[in-house]
Amino acid sequence: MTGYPPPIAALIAQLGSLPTIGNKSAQRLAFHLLSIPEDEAVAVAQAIIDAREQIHLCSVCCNLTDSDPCAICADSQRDPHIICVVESPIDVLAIERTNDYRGRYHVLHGAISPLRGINPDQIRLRELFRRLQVEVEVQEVILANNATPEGEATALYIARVLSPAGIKTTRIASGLPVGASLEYADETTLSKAIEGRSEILL
Amino acid sequence: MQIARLELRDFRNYESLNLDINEKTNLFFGQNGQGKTNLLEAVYMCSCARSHRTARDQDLVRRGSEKYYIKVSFAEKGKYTESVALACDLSGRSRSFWHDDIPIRRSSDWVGLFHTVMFSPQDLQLICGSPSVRRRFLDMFISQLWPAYFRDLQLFNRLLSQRNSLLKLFRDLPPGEQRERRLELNVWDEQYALAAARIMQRRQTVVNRLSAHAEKKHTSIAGCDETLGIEYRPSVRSLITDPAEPETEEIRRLLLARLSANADDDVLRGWTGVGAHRDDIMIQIDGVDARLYASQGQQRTAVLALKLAEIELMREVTRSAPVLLLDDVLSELDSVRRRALMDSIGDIQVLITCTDRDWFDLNWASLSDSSADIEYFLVRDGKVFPEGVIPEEDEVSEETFLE
Ligand SMILES: [Zn+2]
Repeated sequence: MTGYPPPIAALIAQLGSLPTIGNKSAQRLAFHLLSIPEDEAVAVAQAIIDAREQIHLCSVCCNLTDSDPCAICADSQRDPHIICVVESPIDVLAIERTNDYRGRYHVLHGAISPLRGINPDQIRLRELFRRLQVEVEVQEVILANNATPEGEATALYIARVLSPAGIKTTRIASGLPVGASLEYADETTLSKAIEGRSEILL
Repeated sequence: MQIARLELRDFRNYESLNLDINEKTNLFFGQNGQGKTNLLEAVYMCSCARSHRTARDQDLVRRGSEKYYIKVSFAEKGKYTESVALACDLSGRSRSFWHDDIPIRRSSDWVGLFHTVMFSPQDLQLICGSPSVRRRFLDMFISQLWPAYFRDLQLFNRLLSQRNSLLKLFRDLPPGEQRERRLELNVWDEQYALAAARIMQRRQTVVNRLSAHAEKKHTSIAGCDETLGIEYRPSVRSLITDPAEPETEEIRRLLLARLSANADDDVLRGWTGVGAHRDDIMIQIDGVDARLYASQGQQRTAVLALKLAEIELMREVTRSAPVLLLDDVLSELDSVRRRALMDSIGDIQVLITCTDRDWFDLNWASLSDSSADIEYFLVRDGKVFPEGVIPEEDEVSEETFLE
C-alpha cells in the first residue's frame, strides 16, 4: 500500500489491525472517514476516547462498566448464591436478554489457549477464585464458556480448581439449537444432544 | 458418479477452461509440463479440498493472479446434475466452497459430496514412504466417505497443537513450577482422548474392510502364491484390544490412562507421544514388511491392489462408483496389471493422462471392447483441445518459434 501520504497510510494500518477487518475494508473505511464532514469523523474518534476513558472493568465481576461496582453487581435484587462464568461481555448481554437468569456474572475476557500464549493468568481467573473466597454465600458456579476446545478446557480447569472447595459447578448444556434440523448437525453436536436427552413428560 | 463438466479459472497454468467430459474414458495426452496433471489435480481437489501434490495454495494459483476457482458438475446415474466448487483468494488467505452454487461455510460440510480415487506415480510412497504418507491416504479416503471423520481430524489437530504448545512451554520451566501447573495440561486430555479415540476407531474399521478387498484384488493380480496383508498400527497397539470390533469408549478410556501415565515423558520431550498423529498402516507381502523386503514389482502390485480396494469400498459404502483419476500410471504397469485394472474399472468414469497417444491406443484402448467410448483431448500450454479441433502442427511450431 505505497503511495499514500503518511497520515492516510497510518489510518489504514490502524483500522486494518482491528479484528475481522482486512486490508481492503480498512482502505474503504479510511476513505469514508476522510470523505464525511470533519465533525462526524472527529465524533468517531471522540467516542473511542470517551469509551476508553470512562469504561473500565468492574472490580467484582470484571464486566465492562462505567460505575464501580457495575449495575448488576450493585443490584441487591440479584441472587448472590449463583455466579455465571462467561468469556466476554457480549455473553452477559445475551444471557440478560433471556430475562430468566437472576444470579450474577463473572467475565473472563477469553479462554485458555497455549497456542496463542494465553495461560490461566492472562484471563480473569484469579479474580474469580479470589472473589469466591470472599463471597462465601456462593453455592453454584455455572460455566457458560463457549463450546470450543478452548472453552471446554477453561471450564474444566475452573471445575477442577473449585471442586476441593466444595463449590458446585455446572456446565451449560450444548446441543441442537432450537429450530435447527438434525441433518445439518455435526456428529459431535448430535452425540452431545443425545447424551443430554431428557424424558418426555406425559 | 460422472463428471459432465470441469471449469477452471486461474488454476495452475489454466487461465480459463470450460470442458465437457465424456461419461466413460477420457484421455488427456500431450508433452510433459503442458497441464495434464493439473486437470486431474483440480478434479481431485473437488473431492478432498486438498491437492495430492502440494499443501500450499500459492502453488495452485496461476502466476500473476491472486485467486483460483475450480468447479465440477457431476451426476449420479439417473439423478440430477450437481456441482461442487472451491476458490482460494491468496490476498485474504481464505478459501470458499459451494454446493450447487450455494456457499458452504465449513469445508467439513463440503468434503465428501463428490468422490474420486486418484492413482499417480507418487502412490508408490504408500509402500516405501513415511507413516505420514499412509495416514494422509487413509484420512483423505475416510473423509470423503464419512464427513464427521474430517471434523474429528480438524478438532484433534487443534487439540494436539494446544497440548504440544503447553508441553513445549513446560519443558523449559523449573520442575517445581511445571508440576504445580500440571492441571493446565490435564484439562486438555479428556477432549484429546475422545477425538483421538473416534479417529482410531474409524481408522481400524476402515482398514479392516479395505484390507479384505485389497487381499482379494492382490490374489487376482499376483496369483495365489503371494498374499498381501494390511494392518492398522495405532501408536500404542494395546489401545485397541479387539481389532475386529473396536470400541470408541474403550479406546478413549485406555488412551486417557496412557496420557496421564506418560505425562512426565511428554513434558520432557515437549510433545505428545500417543495419539492419532502417530498411527501407521503395516503392509506385508507373505508376512514380511513390504517397505523393506519387497521388490519394486511386488510394491507396484500392492499399491494397485490398494487402489482397487479403495474403489470397491467406495462403491460398497456409497452404492455408487467414484470417478477414477489415473495420472501417468498406465505406462508403469505391465500387461497383467493393466488387465486387472481394466477389469476392475467396469463402467466407472476414468480420466487418464498419458504422454503418448499411440502407446495408449495399443496398450490400453485395445484391452477394452468398447473403444468408441473414449474421448481424446490434446493438452498444450494450459489449453485443452478435444479431438477434431486439434490445431495444425505448423501453427504450433510457429507459436513456439515466436516465444
Ligand atoms: Zn460487576
